[in-house]
Amino acid sequence: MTLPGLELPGRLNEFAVVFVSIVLQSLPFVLIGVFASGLVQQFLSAETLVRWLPRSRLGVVVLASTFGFAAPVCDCGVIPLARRFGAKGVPAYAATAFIVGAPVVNPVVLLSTAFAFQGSWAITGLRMGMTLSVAIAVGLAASALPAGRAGLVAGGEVGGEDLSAPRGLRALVSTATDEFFDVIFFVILGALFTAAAQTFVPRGDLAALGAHPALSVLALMPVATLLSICSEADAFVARAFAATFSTGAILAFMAIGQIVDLRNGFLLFRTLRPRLTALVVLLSYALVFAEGWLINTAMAR
Amino acid sequence: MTASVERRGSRARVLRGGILLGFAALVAKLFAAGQMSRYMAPALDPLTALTGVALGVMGAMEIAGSRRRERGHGHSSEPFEQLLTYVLVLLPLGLGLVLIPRALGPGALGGESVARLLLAYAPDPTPSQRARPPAPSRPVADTADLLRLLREAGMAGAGQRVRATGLAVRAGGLGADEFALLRYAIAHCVADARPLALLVSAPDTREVTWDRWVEVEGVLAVSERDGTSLVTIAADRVRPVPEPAEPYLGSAF
Repeated sequence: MTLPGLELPGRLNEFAVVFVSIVLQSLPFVLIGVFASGLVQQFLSAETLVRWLPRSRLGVVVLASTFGFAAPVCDCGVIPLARRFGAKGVPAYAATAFIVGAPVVNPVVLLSTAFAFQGSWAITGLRMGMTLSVAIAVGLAASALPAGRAGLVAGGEVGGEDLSAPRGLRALVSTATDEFFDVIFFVILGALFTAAAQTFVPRGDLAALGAHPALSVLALMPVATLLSICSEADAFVARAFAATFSTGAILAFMAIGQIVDLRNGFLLFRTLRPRLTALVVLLSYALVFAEGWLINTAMAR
Repeated sequence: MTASVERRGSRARVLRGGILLGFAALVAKLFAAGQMSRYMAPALDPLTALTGVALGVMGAMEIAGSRRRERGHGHSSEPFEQLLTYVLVLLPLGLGLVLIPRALGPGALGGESVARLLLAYAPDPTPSQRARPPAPSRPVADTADLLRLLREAGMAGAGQRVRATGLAVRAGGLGADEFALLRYAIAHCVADARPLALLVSAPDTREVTWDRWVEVEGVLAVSERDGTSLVTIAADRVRPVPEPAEPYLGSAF
């Protein structure tokens, strides 16, 4: 079927196509996130949730970091669900560990990583280990922040426990729709910036740094942040870098891209308090860099 | 709640319902016009279609809810913030509905030279590749078939007659009778596009329009360059073709 429409010249066409495609690709995963959040709102009481949490801080952080195995949401869907957990009384440091860990430490993403790297369980295991270690470290560091600086920001809070709220399909769709419009602004803003970065920021000379154990890691980490590729697809892009970049750099690309990315960055700022957001960004960048560099150094021996 | 506030809330829900229905219409339009493959990998079509249906249902329920004067739950945005959201949401919606999209071109390389992306044979074929006869299981009729042959037979596939489609791209470091045949592979959407390029040597490249789609027919060969064995198509025919219905290769490549 041929429809009338507008044709854009070269770069503008690429910008528009990348922008619309990021939004289209995000939509199903945002919907999964907001409906999962709606289900938690309806069927999981705050009392039950808090009763399930381990007593120790470390236990809570480890459980939150690995909760992606029970709720395999990608980076587009993780924040709505984390906001709901926060509203239900889960500590902000646990919600933060979930935001950092779940987009990678989940079966769907680990299988796609193994598939992209031709069944390399070493790469898959290292990717999981890297993200998990960062999630636990960030969660523990966040738990040490004063309560006032470590919470979910007021604008990022969603409806908490309301026992009189209506239930059923209509209420579920209504809650999901409310939350959809709460997060979609930031998803689209992120998509706009990501498309601009992908189209207009040159990245042609990066390959020259590819073999250096530290510089290769430093070079690929901001690329991952700018490209903001979904956690279920980034391994395929990382594989394309494998011929020119060190293994540590590839792993760092796949780890940091799901924690600090332009597409979800706005939503992260909207959800966490500034001090906590700064902690997530800085500590994640430092740890991922250190681990990527260590892997390169160990492999060179 | 006063009547005017109730009316404003009701109008907002109609607007939100309209936007959700708009996204459902966008998904339907892209499938109907055969444009979805410009944005997304065909493997995701079922998920995208399901998303369109879900958005349509949400939109219809939102509009129906406004008629029943149902109250939303926990939606606390300020009117200005809501307005900003609606304006921003309309941007991809409008673009998607109006645009006639073309597949990514050389501009999406981000300044990287296509000469660096040329596909090379593995330096040392594995024993199984050496032992395996090169004949492909079916005629090599397009780029995906060619890449499959290269994976199965490696350098032993040289001499095989092949046909491939892609963007004809000039690059520094290539001879006057050479160009790169560029394709992108995507896993989910074009944001994760990875470029792949094949070296083409042709007796006459004067008729080739650069950065346009061409079909190349010729023989698979090897070109030695800086110690690397480049996959090469020694072309005897290069002709312009329209952009294919599925311009991107799958994630397997």
